[in-house]
Amino acid sequence: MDLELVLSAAALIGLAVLIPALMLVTAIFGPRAKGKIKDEAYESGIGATIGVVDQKFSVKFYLLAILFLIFDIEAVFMYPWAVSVRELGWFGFIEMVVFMLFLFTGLIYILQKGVLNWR
Amino acid sequence: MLFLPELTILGAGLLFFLLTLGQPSEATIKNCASAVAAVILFTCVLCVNQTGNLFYGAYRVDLFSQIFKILIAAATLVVFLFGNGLKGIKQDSRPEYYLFLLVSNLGLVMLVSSVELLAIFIALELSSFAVYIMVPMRTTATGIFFQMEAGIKYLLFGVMATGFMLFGMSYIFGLTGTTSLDGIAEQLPILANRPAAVVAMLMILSGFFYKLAIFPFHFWVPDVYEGAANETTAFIAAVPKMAAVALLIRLTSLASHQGEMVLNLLMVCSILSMFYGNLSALVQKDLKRMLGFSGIAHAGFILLGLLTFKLTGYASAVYYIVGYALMNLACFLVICQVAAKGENLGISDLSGLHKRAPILALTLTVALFSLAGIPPFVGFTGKFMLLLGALREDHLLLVTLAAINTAIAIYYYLSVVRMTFCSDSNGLGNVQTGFLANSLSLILVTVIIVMGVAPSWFVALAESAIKTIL
Repeated sequence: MDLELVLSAAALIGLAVLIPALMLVTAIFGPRAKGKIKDEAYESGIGATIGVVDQKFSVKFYLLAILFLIFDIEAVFMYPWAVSVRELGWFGFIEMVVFMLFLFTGLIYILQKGVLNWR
Repeated sequence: MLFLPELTILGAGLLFFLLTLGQPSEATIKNCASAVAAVILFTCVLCVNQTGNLFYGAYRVDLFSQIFKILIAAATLVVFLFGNGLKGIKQDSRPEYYLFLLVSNLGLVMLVSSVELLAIFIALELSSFAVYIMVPMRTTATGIFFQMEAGIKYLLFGVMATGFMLFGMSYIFGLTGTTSLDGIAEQLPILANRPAAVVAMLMILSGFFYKLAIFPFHFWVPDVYEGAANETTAFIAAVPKMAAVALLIRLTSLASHQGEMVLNLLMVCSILSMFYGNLSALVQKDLKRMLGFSGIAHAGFILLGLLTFKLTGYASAVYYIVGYALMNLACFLVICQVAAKGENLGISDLSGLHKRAPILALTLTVALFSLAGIPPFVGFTGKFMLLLGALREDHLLLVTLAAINTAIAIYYYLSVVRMTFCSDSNGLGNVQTGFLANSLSLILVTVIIVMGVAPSWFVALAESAIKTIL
């Protein structure tokens, strides 16, 4: 047990020293490149247009967010079922399959209408 | 068997969902729509005598709910049969349009059967959200872009009304400790005059006043009526109002123990709705907008029946809303036929209709006379019964103001009739009407006259239905 403790402590200390050392080396000896656009803050690609509010977005961003929300909530509903799947038995399983089938028909609709084509 | 109408509507919705995945022809969509609406009406009539509780007492099937389901299904069938095949909606969106209509229908049907606060909320939201989506689904080919604004206004007002209703529901739950309407009905008379209970009941009622378009919850009405497609407006004008009246009967029978304050507020809302609706409709030039404002006035009339808190008053309110739905469906049938490309009709677009389309002119005239309250149509009998009920409860001022409003309303209804019969058709072409539209209009005219001349069978039916929930 002592050996494991010593080895794991040594590994942690080694990593704690090595990683900042490597970062320091690349910061001092690495190439530098500056540019106006490169140095701007990343604002999800909107650029330096924080004050501009009438810029039009494509609706596909919104649609993607809504679709993510729906299927994420479906996953959230599956977590409690997963925790108690043995107590719920076959009945609970079939209920869960029915729930997933409802959302699956929604997915079929989405695919059929071509919403996921990032045109 | 208890849940059969709802399952039928659900199945119809799934059928249209499958249709949206393919590329069905226009005839297929139209025939499917008429067929499913007829099947839904048939199942509702079949299940009329079912009684029972479902979903742990949150859902009650009784005569009251089944009769309203029949009425909602019948009105939806008439809307589906309007004949022209959804000229106001984009070609590719037609199956989706029917799908949303059926979802809204399912929500309304579940609403009239719900006896638990959260079930009411879920059903109300189900029906409302489907209609929020239907309103902007109008083709822009006629150069109208107003439907987007109308859709946003409808959505925002509706969500706020739902917010108020939910807040009131939370207060009632806090005061009574139960969300079931039966439990609340037991506890509410005990804490009747507490300000919290009064405010909570009024907030819950305001959610349904929004659907029924009572002042001051009416602000969505003119813009949505004008902006939505003609078929959508026909649905909005007729069907959700019936479900709103059903729920209002349930809720006002709860609130009846709260005495003077609720009564006074209902009276004020009623009078203001009537005056606001009638006075605003006098200056309208767009036909659908005028019908929207007249709907506000009629909603004020229905409130007259509800504020008597008596069985006869509730029955007259039910009779009146059914008559109102019939009259409005007849008006919108004419509008959908005359507006061949799905555009908005001004009142002057109806000039000379008696030469261009005699049967439609007859239907429109009967419907407008009935709305104005001229015997022997259903509008007259309905107004008469409502005023009589209010008079029996000694609301003399209310009855006088309602009579004054009837007189004001006659002007704008009859000015449309004058335009149809007494003007020349200034170069507007003849209107093509098929056999289906003609027969449907004659059926509506017959039902308006029959219900006006012989109201007692329907009022007795309504009374027996309401007795089961009081």
